[in-house]
Amino acid sequence: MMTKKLTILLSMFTLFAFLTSTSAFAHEMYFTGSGSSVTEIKLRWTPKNSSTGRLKILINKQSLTGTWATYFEDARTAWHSSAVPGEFTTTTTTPAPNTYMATTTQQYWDTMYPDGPFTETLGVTDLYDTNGSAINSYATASASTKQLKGANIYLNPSPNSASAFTYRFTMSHELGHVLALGHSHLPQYKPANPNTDPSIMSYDYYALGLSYLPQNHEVREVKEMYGYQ
Amino acid sequence: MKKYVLIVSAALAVTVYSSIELSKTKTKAADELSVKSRIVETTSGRLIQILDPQNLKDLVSHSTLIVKGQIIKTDYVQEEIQLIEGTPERTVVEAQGGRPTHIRSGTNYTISVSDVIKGQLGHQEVTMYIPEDEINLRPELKIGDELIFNLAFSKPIGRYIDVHPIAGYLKVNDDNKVRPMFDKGKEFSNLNNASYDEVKKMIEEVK
Repeated sequence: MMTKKLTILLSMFTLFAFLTSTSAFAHEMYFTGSGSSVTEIKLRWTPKNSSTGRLKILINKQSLTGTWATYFEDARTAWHSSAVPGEFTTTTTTPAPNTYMATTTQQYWDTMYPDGPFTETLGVTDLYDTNGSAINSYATASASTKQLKGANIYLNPSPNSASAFTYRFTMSHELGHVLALGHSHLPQYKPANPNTDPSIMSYDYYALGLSYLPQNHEVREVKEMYGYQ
Repeated sequence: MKKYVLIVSAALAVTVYSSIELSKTKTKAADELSVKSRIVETTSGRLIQILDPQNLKDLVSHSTLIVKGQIIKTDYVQEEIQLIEGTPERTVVEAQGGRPTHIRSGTNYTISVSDVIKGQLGHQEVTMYIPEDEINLRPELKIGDELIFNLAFSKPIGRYIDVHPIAGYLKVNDDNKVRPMFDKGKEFSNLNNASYDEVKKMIEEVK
């Protein structure tokens, strides 16, 4: 009897040790704290294809202009063709879009994001919960329904010295946020090793300049967060 | 019993080893990043590209105002930005059923200026703004801190901003020695522990 109990206890401990030592961990978009004391807010995208059960991202790109528009299709296809259980398609009115992408005016960008000569904001994603409230901070995420029904991606109208890779990576990265994927590079939040666990939600991986395509990291996290096998 | 202890020990050893290995590789990868350009993300998910100044001259030439001063006040501000009708940003907000405004949150730092190294200043005080979600990209800035601030004026917000989140700041200690926050590049490292007058002279020589 004693041996049986001990076996169960040890097996559970071993399983726990194994799970915590691997990367079976999904990075949420909003969290607070550091290391083992992290408190996460689990936001989840709700639109799904009722037939396939896959996550449905219906993008309206009518407000997307300039070079962002040129490389948009590459970023969209990257996700749509990946092993992530999601459908990334474009639409204007029917079916109704749930995600809007916009190249903003210069005046808006400079007013919202007053960057210095050495810094430049490239893209921002706001999420919308099922009450229609915008989520763009820990506080607003905390006050939300946690269930997402839409997203807006805002892009810099005139980025300096941006390469094709930067355009593609930025949009691909922001599309990851639409599914509530968080950053995977932050040192206080179980950072993914860019060499052994590449991730487009990581700026360490961006710095390597290798790919803007969703990696196994993103596939694994989306499946884990949304309960896909 | 021993068998189970061995299994647990082995599992623990694998766990610890994996963590150490991952942490080692992370440090190495971070060290190898380019110092010229990098992408960082703010706490609110904003993707920012940061270029680093090549040298002191590069930093100084991009600064319209360089002052020595002390932080005397900080004010957290939330400002409502009206989205203009017909613009792409307003169109997409309205499509989501949202209000045609966005909130810009940040902190105004009031700096009492004791010396102007570059630029013109009509007042003894300047206001520098840092967006809320970018605070953690900067060194810690407290009331009472004395620094050399490398600034640029932002017309859209009507305030000064730092030209670089780290290189824009050179701390001036009580003994009047300077400690740059930015240590990438020999020129910046050489400023460490130099007197304020020496650093001022170096800045004036390259401006």
